[in-house]
Amino acid sequence: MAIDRIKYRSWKGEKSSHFHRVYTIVNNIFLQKMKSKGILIILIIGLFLAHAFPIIFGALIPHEELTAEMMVGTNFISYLKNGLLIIFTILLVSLVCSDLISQDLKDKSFVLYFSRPIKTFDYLAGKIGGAISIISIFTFFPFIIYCLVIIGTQTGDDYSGSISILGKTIIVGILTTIFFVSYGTMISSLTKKKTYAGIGIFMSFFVLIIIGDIFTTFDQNWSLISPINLLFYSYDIIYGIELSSNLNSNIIGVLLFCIIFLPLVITFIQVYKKEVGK
Amino acid sequence: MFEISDLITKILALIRYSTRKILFKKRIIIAFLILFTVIAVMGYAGAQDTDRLTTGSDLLGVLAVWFFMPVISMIYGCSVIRDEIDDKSITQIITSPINRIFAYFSYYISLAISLCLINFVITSLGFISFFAQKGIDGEAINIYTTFIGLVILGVFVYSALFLLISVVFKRPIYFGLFFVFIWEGFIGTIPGSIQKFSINFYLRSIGSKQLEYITLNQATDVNISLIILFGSIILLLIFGSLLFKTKEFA
Amino acid sequence: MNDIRIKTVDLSKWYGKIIGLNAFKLEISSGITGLVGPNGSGKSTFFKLAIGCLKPKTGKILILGKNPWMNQKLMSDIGFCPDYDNLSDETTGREFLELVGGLHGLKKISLRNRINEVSEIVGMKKELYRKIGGYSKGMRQRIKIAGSIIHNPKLLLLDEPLSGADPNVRKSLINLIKYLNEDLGHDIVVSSHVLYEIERMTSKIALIYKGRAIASGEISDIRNLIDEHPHNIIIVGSKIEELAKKLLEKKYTISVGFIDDRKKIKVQVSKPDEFFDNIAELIKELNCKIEQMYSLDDNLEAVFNYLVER
Repeated sequence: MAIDRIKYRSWKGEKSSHFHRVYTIVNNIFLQKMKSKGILIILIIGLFLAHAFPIIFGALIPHEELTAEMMVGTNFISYLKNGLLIIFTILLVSLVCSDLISQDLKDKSFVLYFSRPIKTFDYLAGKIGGAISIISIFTFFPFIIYCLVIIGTQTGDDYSGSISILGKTIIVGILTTIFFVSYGTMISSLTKKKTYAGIGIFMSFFVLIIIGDIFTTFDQNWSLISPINLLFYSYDIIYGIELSSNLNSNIIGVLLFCIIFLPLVITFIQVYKKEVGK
Repeated sequence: MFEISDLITKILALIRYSTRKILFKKRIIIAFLILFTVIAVMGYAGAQDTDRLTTGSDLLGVLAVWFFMPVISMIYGCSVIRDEIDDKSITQIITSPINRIFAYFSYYISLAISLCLINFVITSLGFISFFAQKGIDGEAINIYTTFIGLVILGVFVYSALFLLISVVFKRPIYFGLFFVFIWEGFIGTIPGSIQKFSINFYLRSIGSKQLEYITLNQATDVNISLIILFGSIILLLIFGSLLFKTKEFA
Repeated sequence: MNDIRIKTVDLSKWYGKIIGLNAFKLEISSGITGLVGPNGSGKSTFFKLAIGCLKPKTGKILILGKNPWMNQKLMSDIGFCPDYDNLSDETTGREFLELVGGLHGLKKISLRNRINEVSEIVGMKKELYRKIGGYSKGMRQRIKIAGSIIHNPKLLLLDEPLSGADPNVRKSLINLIKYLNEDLGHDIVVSSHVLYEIERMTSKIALIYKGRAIASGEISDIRNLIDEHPHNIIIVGSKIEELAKKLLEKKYTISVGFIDDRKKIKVQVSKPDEFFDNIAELIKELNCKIEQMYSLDDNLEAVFNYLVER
């Protein structure tokens, strides 16, 4: 039999159902996490304690309009700079993100993903999208609801200021969600054990908070080591509140960029190694 | 006589195996990370212009004793037995002719020895990185020996507690996180009677009587604190060993 | 009586709503006994009760005349090789055997000698210094067996030692198990869900199904049970109607039925041996073209179904 050449022609078409594949991953994670009792308990208790009470109090206390002070002020009705909110967010992120990638590392299920027309970017988009869909239930939508309730119950007629704060709150919500999800996903990509990932997320925040507190006595810029302080200062910048003169806003910007994008880069590298079979 | 010698051989075999697992598994990276963190933080603080004894004891207390020691104890204590149950390597132990109570005590001894070693190194190197820059004198040594004593005592208590938790719960680490961060870290510092339910309170009570730099409201007498801590160790071990003895392994 | 190594009387164990063993009654004597049953039949539950990992809900189990629950001393006389992987990847084979030997009271020189001895027996002497994480499936099974015999127990319990092994490894493990009994004198209970594997090791088996011991004895007795039970055989091909007519004339044929498009028949026979002896001749005589022929009943499930229906 003569050689029957197989003529190769490169495919010039468009990938079909590409978005659907990413959506499948997002949907899978969302449904999986919403079935978890631990996550549901933390969500329900956290929404109740960290959001429901402030929303109710905020609505009941007479106010002329929605102000930045109400969101991030240092007085007792500050909504965002709330210890309970932060603790529950960290707990939620630990639970949601701990097995996001670590479980796939352990099960070696990357074969399942990368034997389909899915690249590292698509995989991560799906995973991070899934995590964001859960975390945003706690760190985005309640913020918007709070603003809308306050705006709806304000006594003043001037809504433009309130709407501006609402706009800034949307940015804050997105920042907060991506901030925690990016970090949590990175920790999850560094270990095969979801328990370690969960502890790692939880502990790293607290360790950095403690170290930040210790070093603040020497120089206030050291407080930026604490991711929570970094986040709070970012809120101040977004809402236009003046920072302490000892703080360098350039450092805040750089650190914020690092803590959001560096984890994503590290995660990408970790997963890409699996895609290429390492 | 032969039976005792036989029993000692079995106990030592388990202690050796378990200690090797604790100290030479990848998880030891966590201890190294903590060690470097403590050295870096205390080293940096030592280079600053601060009060030597107050800052030194505050830092050593916060880093080595009140925070990292319970955390390390939790990480290792919650996994020594639980990991073996999860990966089923506990089968070797429960199908061997060593009484499960002695097996439990062997796990405890290996855990306590390993944690004492880890925490001793962390506390010592943390102390050196700060005080070597400020000067080591009798007072500094007094601070060091007090904290070493508290660390070792704390290790024995927390090891007993977390070992028990690992037998009782399927996911002991989550209970451990709650205990260390919320119970000990938060509830244990609330003034009043409730703080007497935390281990941290009794360690601080002992520390406050030894060192003026450790302050605590309503500190309990040293002897009472020691009795409560040692009593807790004994009770936790007895309870844990009985649970381990009667536990089914499906 | 002295020959009985394991005895269970109305032994039951359940996990919530799931029944592991149900009024399990069995006596296992010395030698090699095969415990055969499909997945989920209760074999592993039985072993876990035998080694004292689980406590019976009702009934009792006696190993070498003693109750194994909370009886650690009895473990000196039992060696257990589980079906699951209970080895730590980070430890070497030697460290694993040192632990197991140490837990059985062996120390120093006697431990070292015994490790050399058992590793020689299982053929793992050269691999002892490697980490278990680098072992193949067969090597893992061997090192587990080594751990189960290091203390020279009277009774060995091997739970599915051949599962996951390739044919060569299966063959060598079967030979090893036979050697452990014939040459070294260990009594062995070995479980599997594959009858013919057990057949190569022993003629004594116990059948377990849905938590019950439904038959025990010699394999030949069990085989006869299969043969007494009517067999269903499927034949697919051409000129099949003529074959069906011929088969109906035979005494061993109970019934013949057409399936689908009359190219397939289901023949029920009372004597499968005679059927298989004669079928080739019939096919040649009628000049049929047979595409497929297979028995629906020549398997363990069919035996169980038959025994359970009784």
